[in-house]
Amino acid sequence: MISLTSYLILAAILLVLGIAIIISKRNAIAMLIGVEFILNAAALNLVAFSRHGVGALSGQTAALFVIVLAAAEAVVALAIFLNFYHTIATVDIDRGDQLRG
Amino acid sequence: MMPYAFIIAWLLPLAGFVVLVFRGRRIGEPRSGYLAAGLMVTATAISLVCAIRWIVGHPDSLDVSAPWLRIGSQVVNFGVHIDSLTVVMFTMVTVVASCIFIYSIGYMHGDPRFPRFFTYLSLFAFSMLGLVLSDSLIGLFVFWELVGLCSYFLIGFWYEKTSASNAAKKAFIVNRVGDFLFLVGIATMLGTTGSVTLQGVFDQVRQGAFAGHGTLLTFAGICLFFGAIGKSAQFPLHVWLPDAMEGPTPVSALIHAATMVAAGVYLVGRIFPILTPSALLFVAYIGGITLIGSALIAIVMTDIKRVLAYSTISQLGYMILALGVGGWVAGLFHLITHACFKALLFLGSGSVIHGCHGEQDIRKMGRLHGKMPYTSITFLVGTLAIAGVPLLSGFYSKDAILASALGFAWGHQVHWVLFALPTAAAAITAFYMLRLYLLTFWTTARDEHIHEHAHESPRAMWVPLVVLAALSVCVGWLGRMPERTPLGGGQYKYEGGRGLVGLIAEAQPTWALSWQMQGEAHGSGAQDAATLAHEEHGFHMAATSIATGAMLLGVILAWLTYVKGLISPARAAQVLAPVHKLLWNKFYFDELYRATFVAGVLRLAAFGKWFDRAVLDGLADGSARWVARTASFSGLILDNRAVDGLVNGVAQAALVGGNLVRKGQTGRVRNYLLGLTTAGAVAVVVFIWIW
Repeated sequence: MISLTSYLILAAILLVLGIAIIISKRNAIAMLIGVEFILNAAALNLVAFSRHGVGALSGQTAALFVIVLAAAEAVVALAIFLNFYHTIATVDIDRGDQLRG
Repeated sequence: MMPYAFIIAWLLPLAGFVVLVFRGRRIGEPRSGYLAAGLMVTATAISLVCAIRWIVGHPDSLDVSAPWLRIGSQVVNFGVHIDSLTVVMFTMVTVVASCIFIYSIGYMHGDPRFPRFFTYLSLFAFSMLGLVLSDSLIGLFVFWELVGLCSYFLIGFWYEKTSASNAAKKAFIVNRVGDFLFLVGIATMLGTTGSVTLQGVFDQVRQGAFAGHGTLLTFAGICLFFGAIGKSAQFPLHVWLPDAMEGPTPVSALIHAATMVAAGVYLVGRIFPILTPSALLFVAYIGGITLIGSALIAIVMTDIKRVLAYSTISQLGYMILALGVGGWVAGLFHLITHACFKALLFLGSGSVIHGCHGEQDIRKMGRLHGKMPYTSITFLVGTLAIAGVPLLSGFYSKDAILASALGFAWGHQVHWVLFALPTAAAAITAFYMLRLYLLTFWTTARDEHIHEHAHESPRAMWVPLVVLAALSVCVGWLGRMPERTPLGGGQYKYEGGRGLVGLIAEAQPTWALSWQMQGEAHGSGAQDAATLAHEEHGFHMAATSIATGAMLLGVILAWLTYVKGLISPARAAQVLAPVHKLLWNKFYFDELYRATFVAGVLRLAAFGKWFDRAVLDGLADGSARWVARTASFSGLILDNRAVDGLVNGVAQAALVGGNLVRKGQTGRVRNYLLGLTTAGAVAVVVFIWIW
């Protein structure tokens, strides 16, 4: 049985990777991928805590919700990116700085 | 009916004034004079008819009054009081004024302001008649001021001359002093008796409104008398009258000889009952000082009008003295006779000046009798009348005054000087008047040029002279002094008075404080007033001989000096140089007043100017400067720097802060995320490190 710590370390690695991707990548699609990394790190944590800790399948259930949420999020994000592309004719996220102060 | 006739006669000159003041320039030179003179003659006719009806009908007195103004609960009536004194004064004023109006048509011929002259004269006649008719102190005061105003206008009629406008101002200002005290007297009366009508005041005083306040009553009486001092040019306010001769000669005759200046005497006669013995003594001494002082000055004057002016002051002094010693009838009788012969003398002098083309210095005249016979003869009549030659009017009235003075001095021997002064002045009067007449019409012609061009005046001028000369002769015959018999208790009865003097005597108050209080005020040695008055007629014989003697002395002296040449005036002036200098400078009164009052006022004005400039302006400037400085401080420093600085600083801080903060808001999602994660990481690290 793989220890909880290993899971947590893997989840932490996934999280940091996701964040690093979001911060470093300028492509919107790449950022979406980074977001998937983070969500999956969270889902992994939930499942790991459920396997080693309390409460039947609550962690797995929450992980399923996370997956659904990720799908919905991807849909919304892609819709925004499409509009973004319509407006600025690119998916370079740094060009979309109209909200700067 | 009668009062209304008088009121109509009184309003006629006012109508003339109103017409002339609006249409005078349009009406033009001769016709405005005819209009004013015509109205005046009409008024004279009415008043003469009324006077005759009065003498025949013998009414007591008539009063008409209407409410005039209301002060609080006090209603002041504007009323007319007519008694026999009013009738006499009214007739005298209208007759003299008529003569002078007619004379002025000739005298003012060719003057550019001819209509205006008659405008003022009409206003004056109206005011003077109002003064005579008025039944209250307030009414008296109103017309008193009006005649003063007319006097001012007419003295300064030729205002292009600086001396004339100065003389007008002097007359007005000097009169203010007297008028102020007059007003104080009226206020005292109103405050104490609650009444301003003469009758009301008398009744109240008689019922003891001043009981226990004898000094206040004396004070009030003297204050009222000061009005008379100013108007009648008595010492010490006599200085204005000689200067008033700057006005046209008819004005001098009408206002400054016959009528207005006599108003003071009239006033004293009216308020006589309320004058206490002390007040009367004051009155008498003022009259005495005035009559001798101005008679002396008249000896050395060389300006024909100024001699007459000082003579007028002296004669007014006689009247005042007469009233002061209780010779009520004598004083007012002298007022009437004096009005006739002094108007005559002034008009005569005007005729001389007119005939000599404006020359007024008697040293340059002489031997004018042949050139202007009418003027000369009428002038001689006036001269003899004022000197007191028997059978002429001045003789009777001066005689009556001297009798009163002698009676008074007999009773109060401490005051013998009150008889000595008028007697001496009688001699001096005869002397200076003959000097004036002789130097002007006889002796040698000292200025050939003037003598050659001298001519008789036109008829409009010499006819009034003849009328006035006739009056000067006859007025004294029109009456006989009444006997005054005491009834006891301060009551008197007059009997035997006839005609003019009888008329005046009828108006004499039948009671007076002084008669009730005489004994206590004049010391224990004084005889009872009743006995004194009874003896008065006994003094007439003595007074007549003394007066005639004094007059003859003056006449002889003048005769010796100016006809026989036994006494040289020039040498006399040299021998008596200090006296001559003193008289020539009129006792230095003008200099005294200039040094004290005028200089004092000027110094006060200078101080006021300094005070204004230095203190008041300084205060104003200082506070203004202070305000300016405060304003600049608060404006430039406080407002601009502190308040604006605060506001700007806040804005600046917000701007700087905003600029600072906005740098963080790049609009780039990645930056935000970087910040967020960094912050999260730091928080976690800090959390772990602390824990």
